Amino acid sequence: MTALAAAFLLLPASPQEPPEPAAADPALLQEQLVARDAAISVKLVSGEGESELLDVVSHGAPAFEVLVRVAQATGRTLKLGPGDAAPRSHRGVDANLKRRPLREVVAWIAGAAGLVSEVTRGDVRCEADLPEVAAPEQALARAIDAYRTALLHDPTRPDAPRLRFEIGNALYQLGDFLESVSAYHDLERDSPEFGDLPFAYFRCGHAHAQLGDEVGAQAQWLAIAELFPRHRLVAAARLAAVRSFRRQKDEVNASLALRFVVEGMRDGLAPEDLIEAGELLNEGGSSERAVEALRCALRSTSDPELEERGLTALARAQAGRRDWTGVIATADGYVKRHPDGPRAAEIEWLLAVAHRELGDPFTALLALARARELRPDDRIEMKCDLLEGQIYAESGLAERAQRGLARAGACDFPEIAAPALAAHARLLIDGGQFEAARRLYERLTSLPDHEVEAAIGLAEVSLLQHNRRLCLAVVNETLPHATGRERDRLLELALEALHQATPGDLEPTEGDHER
Amino acid sequence: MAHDPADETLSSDEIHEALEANEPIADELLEAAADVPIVEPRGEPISVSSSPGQTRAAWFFGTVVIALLAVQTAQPFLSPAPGGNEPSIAAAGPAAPVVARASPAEEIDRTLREMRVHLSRGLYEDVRRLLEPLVDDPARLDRDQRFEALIMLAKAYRSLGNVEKAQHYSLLATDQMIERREPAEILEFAGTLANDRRQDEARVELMKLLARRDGFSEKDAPWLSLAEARIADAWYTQAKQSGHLAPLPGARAPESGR
Repeated sequence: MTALAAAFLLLPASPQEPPEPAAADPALLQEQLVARDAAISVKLVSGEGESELLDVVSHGAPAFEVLVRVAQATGRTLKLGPGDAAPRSHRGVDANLKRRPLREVVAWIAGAAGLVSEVTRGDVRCEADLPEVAAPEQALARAIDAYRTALLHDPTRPDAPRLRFEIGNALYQLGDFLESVSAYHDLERDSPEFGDLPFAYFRCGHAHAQLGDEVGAQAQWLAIAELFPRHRLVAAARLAAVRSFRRQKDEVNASLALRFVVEGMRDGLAPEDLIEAGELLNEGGSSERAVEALRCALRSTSDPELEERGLTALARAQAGRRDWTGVIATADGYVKRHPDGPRAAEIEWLLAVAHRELGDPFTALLALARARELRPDDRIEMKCDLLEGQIYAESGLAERAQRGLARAGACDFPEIAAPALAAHARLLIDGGQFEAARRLYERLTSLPDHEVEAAIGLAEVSLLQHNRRLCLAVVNETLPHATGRERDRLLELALEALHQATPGDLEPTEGDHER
Repeated sequence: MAHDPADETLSSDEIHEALEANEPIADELLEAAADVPIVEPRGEPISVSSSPGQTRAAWFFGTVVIALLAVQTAQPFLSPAPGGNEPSIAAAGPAAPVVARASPAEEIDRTLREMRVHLSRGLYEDVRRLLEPLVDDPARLDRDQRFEALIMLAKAYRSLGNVEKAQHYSLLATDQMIERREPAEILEFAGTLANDRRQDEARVELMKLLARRDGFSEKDAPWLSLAEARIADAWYTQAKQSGHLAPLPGARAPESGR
C-alpha cells in the first residue's frame, strides 16, 4: 500500500481531472484510490509456484491505476520513469484480459498509454515510449521480443517464416551472430518454401564468418547457387565465398569461385557485384580483368556511393597494372565528383604513388599533404608516412625520411611496417648505425612472412660489423626456409663471410655443437 | 478515454461518472437488464445512457415485475390449492424443456430465460454454476447473449456478497456493449501511422487492441495475431529509421529491399 501511495504521489494532476487532494493526507489518497478502483478489476488467477497469470478488466481507468493494481496483485512496486511517463500514465485504458501472463498484461496496458515497460522480480517499471530517445539497440531488442511473443502465441500463423526471418535479421544487426545463425538455420529447416530464403542463407553465411566459422559460411553461400541458381544473390554469395577462401589462404577454391562469377559477367551482374568482383580480381593479381569489370560497373550505375567505391577500386587496379596515367585520370575524376568522399584520402595517396612513379616527387608530396588533411584512417595515415619516407630517402633527405619511416615501422599493419623497417634499416646502415639497423631487422624478424628478409639484413649487418661467426650462424639457421633469390643472397653472404674469415673465427664453440 | 465517444453507446463522461460512483453503472445495467423482454429478440443493444427519469421508471417497473413474479412463485406455498394435485407454477416452470430440436442459439436463449427466473427466485448459486462456464466460452454466445449472461452473473455475485466478482462481470458486460472500431480498421489505421514514420503512435493503437484481446470473438483472432506482428515490425522499423544500424548483407539487392 505504501508503494501504491508512493506511485500515486509521483504523478502530477492532469488538467482534465478535478484537483487532487492534498498529497500529505494518506487517508484521502487511500479513499480516492478505493473510489477509482471501482472501474478496475485485477485478479491474480495463478496458483502459488506457477507463473503469474492475471485477469484484468478496465474501462477508461488511468493506466497507472491499472498498473498499480497489477503490481500490487503480484507483490511488486510500480515505478514510473522521469519526463513524459507520469502524464502519459494518466491516459485512460480499456482492458479485457483473461489468464494472461504478467509481462503481457503490463506490456499491453502500458503500451496502450504510450509507455514501455519492464517487469523485474520486485518492480514494474514504465517509461515513456519516445522514439527519438530510445537507442536503436533497445528498439531491436524489443522487436525481437515482440516477434518471439507473436510466434509463441500462434506458432502456425501464416507469416511465421517472415517473423523468424526478421528475428534472424534483427539479431544480426544487434551483433548477436550466434543467435542469428540459429534463427536462420531454423528458418532454412522449417520453411523451405519461404520466398526470401536466399537472403537467409546469405546473411547466415555472413554471421558464420563473423563468428570465425569460414567453412560454415562457405557452405551457406555456395548453397545459394545450388538451391536458387537464378537468384540475384548468387554472384554476391560466390564473391563472399572468394573472400572467405582467401582468408583461409585457399587460392584454388577462391579462383574457382571467382571464375564462376566472371563467367557470369556476360549475363549481366549487378553493379555492386561487378565492383566486388573487380576488387577481388585485383587482390588476386588479375588487374587487367579487374579494370574491365570496374569500368563495366561504373558505366552501369549512377549510385554515388557505388560510383565512389568503384572509382577507388579502379584506381587501385590501375596502380596494380602500373598504369600511372590511368591512376591520375581516375583520381582526378574521383576528386571532382566526390571531393569529400570517404575514400578521398586513399585516392590522394594513390595519386602520390603515381606521381612518385612518374618521377615527380614534389607533386607526390603535395598529394600526401592533401591526403593528411582529409583525416585518413590509421592505415592510410601509415601508408602516407611510408611513402613520404621513401620519397625523402630517394631525394637524399635521410633525416626527414627516417622520421616517416620510424612512424610507419612502428605501426600494427605488417604490410606497411615491413617495408618501412627495411628501408629505415637501410638508411641507418648507410649512415653507419649498424646496431640501430640490427635492432630494426630483429623487429622485422617478428613479422610473419618477413623472417628471411630480416635474416638477410641481419647477416649483412653482421658482415659489416665483421662478425662473421654471427653472419654464418644466421645463414645456417635461415637457409632451409629460403628459396630462389633469397637463398642465393644468403649463400653469397655465407661465401663472403668465409672469404673474410680467419682460422680463429671458424673454430666451433659449445653453442655450435648444440646447434 | 481511448476510444471515439461518437461511436459509443456510452459517452466518456457517463462512463467516468459511472466509474467514479459506488458502482452505479452495474446497478443501472442490472436494472436495465431486468426490463429486457425474456423471449423477444432485441433490435438494439440496451442503452445505459438513458436519463435519470427513464432509469427510475425502468427501476420501478423492474421492481414491480420482480415483485409480481415473487408473489406468483410464493403463492402455491402460502395457500395450497384445495385439490392439492394440481401442478404448481414452480414445478411446471420455465426449467422444463419447451422447444424440441432447438438451434444452439435458441438453446442459449432458453437457458438465459431460465436463469432470469432463477435469479428472480434467488437461486444465485444456480445462476453462477450454469452461466460462468457459458461466458468463459467466447464461441457459444453472441454479443447480446453474452451481455445478458454477464449482467446476470454480476447480479448473482452481488447477491452472494462477492462484490469483487460482481464488479468484474459488470465491467465485462460494459466492455461488451461499447461500440468500437473493428480490429481490421485499427490495423489499417496503425499501418497508416507507421507509413508516416509515426511508429510509436502505431504501437499505441495496436497495444490498445491487444489490451482488450480477450473481449473479442474467435473470428477476430487473426487480426489480433497480426497486431502482435505489427508491433514487432514497428519496433524494427524504428530501429532501422534511426540510421545507426549496420546494413544487412544483401540488403541492396533491388528485388527485395529487405
